[in-house]
Amino acid sequence: MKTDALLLDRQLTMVLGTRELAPPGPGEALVRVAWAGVCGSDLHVLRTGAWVTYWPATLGHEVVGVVEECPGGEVPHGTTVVVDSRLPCGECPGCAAAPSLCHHMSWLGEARPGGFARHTVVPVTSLVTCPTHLEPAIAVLAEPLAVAMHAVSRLSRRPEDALVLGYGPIGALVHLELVRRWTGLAVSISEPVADRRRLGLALGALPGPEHPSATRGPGGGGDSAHRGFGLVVDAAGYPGSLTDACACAANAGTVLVVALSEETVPLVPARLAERTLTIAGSIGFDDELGKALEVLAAAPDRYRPLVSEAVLLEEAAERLASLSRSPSAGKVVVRPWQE
Amino acid sequence: MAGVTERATERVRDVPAYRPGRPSPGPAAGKLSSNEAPLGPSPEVRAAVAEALATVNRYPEQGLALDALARYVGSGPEQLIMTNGSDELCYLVANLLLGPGRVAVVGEPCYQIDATASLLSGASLRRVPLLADGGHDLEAMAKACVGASVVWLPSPHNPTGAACDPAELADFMAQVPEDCLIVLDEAYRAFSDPELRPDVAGLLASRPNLLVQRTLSKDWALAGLRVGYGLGPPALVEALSRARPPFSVNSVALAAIEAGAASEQWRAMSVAMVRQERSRLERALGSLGARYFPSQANFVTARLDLGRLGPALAASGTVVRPGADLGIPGWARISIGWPPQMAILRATLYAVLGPVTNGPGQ
Repeated sequence: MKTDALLLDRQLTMVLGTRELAPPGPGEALVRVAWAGVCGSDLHVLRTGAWVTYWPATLGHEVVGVVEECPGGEVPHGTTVVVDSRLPCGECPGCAAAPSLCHHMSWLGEARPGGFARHTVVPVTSLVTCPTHLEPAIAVLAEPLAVAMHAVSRLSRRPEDALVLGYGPIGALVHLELVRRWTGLAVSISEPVADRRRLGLALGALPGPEHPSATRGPGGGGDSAHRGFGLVVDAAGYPGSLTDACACAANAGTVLVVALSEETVPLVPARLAERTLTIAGSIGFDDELGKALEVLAAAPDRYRPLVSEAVLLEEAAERLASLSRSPSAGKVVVRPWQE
Repeated sequence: MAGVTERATERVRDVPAYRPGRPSPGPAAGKLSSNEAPLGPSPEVRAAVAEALATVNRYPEQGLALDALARYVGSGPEQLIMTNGSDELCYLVANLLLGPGRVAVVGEPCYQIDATASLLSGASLRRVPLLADGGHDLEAMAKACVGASVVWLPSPHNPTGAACDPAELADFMAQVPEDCLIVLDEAYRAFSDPELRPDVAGLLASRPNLLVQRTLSKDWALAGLRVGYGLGPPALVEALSRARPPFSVNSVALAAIEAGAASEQWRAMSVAMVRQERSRLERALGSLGARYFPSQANFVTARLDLGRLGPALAASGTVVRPGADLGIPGWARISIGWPPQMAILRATLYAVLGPVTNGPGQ
């Protein structure tokens, strides 16, 4: 079948076009996309073409939609679902431990056509049923919220306080997950984009250091009187952000890395040891997708401000092209379907 | 001799029934018919409202909320009266200053409650047609104020969203006789461009016949709690307070005011979202060649054929306000909602009214 889709070519030009979708085979389902969220990794692909294994590509891995065909009958026609974006190989030793530890992980949109399209075909094992009363435009946050929940699950105990570097959607969701898990936890944010900073403060965050590299705790220069934060989340990923995160952490604090920076950063092992710092990385999620849907369904208005911009598929190519230089306050979601 | 029913009916003969915006047939977000706040109040206000339920057996004490609101608006509490929705202030003004033989001036079309309160008092209305851009004809209104007791002046105006230029507004006020009260209704002030927000403190200091009317239903997102307020000369505020029923602002609303006064970041975020979506809707209407009034409020009023659009809007779970309800048949007032709902609305507009053109928006 043919479906309208955003097509990204090898020259990294994206246009709205038509792509041929193979009908769903055994173990697959055809999903009519209701909403698809724009992830920072989508923007990375738009800039670099990284990770894509087929051309032209249709990105979009944060997907909520309605099952239109399911030859095997595993999921009833008309079911509203969220799509698990991960495509683990299912055969490696990592997969044997947990899907998120796959040695050959690929992702919807990068390895097969994703959600910036009116329809997508996905494995039925990727489908998670939405609670019936949850608005799809809130449910589209389930995938990034699962990422945030997985990251926070790396923490074994409540930190004294926290600093989130970078208040993009993942930083924002980590903030909300931290205070959901530990009521009353003081979370500061450091974010240069005014609209994002305003969103964070509106959601109860405290204003953190404007220039983290100049406002360091016991581990660096700058304001050495600052004792540092018990937890620093690097959701920024700018060159040197991990160095700044470590410097802003209190002694015996934790640095949680969720940003995907490819920059090499200087770290002095002795300082890590002397300061008893813990550095933890986190990507993706394990079994948090269903839990994320439950969390969203329990308090949708808490997450509603995070969906700060919505564009139609016809409007999306232009907006995605400008998104890196003109970021939205929160999550941008794409509406492929037209009633 | 006329019976009770006949006498009551006679009094409201010229008063149109108020028709509230209809709810959405689908999710609540689809209700774009009453200019409500799509994100609701801040988490702090929600918590305060929940906590206030524990004391609803007590009569309201408004002192702390009045002080908090006075600090928020930068006035003294003696200049401030809180009311059960800003509409109550309309009725208080009408009770005190209008009545049989008196005249009230309104734009045409006007905010319906201004007309209703005036007519119920027994006053007559002097209607001044709006300009083509949806704004007030301030020159004609100033002339109409001669011999009138009250002029109702919403800016930004409802139902067009047009705002008065502050300099022109000051000139207008200087022309209005001092025995005519100017009610400057700023329900939608927060959504207007900063340069279009008049210096209210300065105007109040120089105009003894000015009452500024505001609501907490819009940017404060408290429509369901019914809170408004007026700012004016202390003597006028005192008179209005004596006419107001006791405890007209309930204790839950008072708790929300106290918490809301500290929720500036939430309001700033919410208003920025509305302004972003308003611009996007106006661009979409322009691309479709649809006429609309450039808006400074949290809605856009456009010339749209709801007979043609209605089924598609209903199918998408979206409800807008028919202009016929607001005195402008053939138009529709679209409240600015949550971004996903506005995308659904644009999709409907494109599907029914397309193809997209580059025609002018006016």
